[in-house]
Amino acid sequence: MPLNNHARAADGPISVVLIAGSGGPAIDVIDTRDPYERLDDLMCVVEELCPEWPDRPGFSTSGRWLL
Amino acid sequence: MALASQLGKQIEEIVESLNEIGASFALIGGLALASHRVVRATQDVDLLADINIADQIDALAVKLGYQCIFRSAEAANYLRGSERLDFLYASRPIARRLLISAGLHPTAFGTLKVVSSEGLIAFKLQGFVNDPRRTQDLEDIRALLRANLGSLNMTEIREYFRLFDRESLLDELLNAAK
Repeated sequence: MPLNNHARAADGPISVVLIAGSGGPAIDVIDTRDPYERLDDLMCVVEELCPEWPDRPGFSTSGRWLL
Repeated sequence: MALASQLGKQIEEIVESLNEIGASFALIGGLALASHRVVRATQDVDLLADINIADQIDALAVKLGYQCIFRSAEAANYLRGSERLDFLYASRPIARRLLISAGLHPTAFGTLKVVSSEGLIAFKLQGFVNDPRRTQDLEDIRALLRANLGSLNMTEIREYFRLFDRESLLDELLNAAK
């Protein structure tokens, strides 16, 4: 499982990679908390580790807006 | 629940403010993934809103301290320090239907209106088609398909991929998700 594969099912088993992308064991854990509570926890860690995010692309000014 | 993250507080503030003016809006983007069995880090608050209240939203965003960095008939981007607030405006039948049919989800962030998984995939597809550098949109589609494969309305999803001439991409994604 690649290290950057961080998206996972909220209700089902979650594969967690320990130590490194291909070097650690993958274990399944069950987390039944509200997914937004988990997101809040995750973002607390992310905001501490990465207080400033790189610039993200905005909406395209052209293209096919069909929806 | 007291929200601890900056993102959580930002969402709480914008949702409360939009509700106060009676705005019709729903969560899309990375945040909305959490309602559909996918949790990932995101720093952008992406919302789908009725085009008819775009001016009211603009005034509200400015009042909350955001600076408008882009605005068109389709979308708007606002920035407040490092906090991003993005709106897609629903003006065409598909987006209007997805906005109206968005479900209410009781969450740790309060009650949120969130577009369906199928609608979320459609907006992610539109984002990726319009700018192929947005590879995160494609990864989000993969994650949504993998996490919700048994419950998705595949007829609806295929219609969106057909609309953007990407049916073969859907087949590739489905094969990988199985």
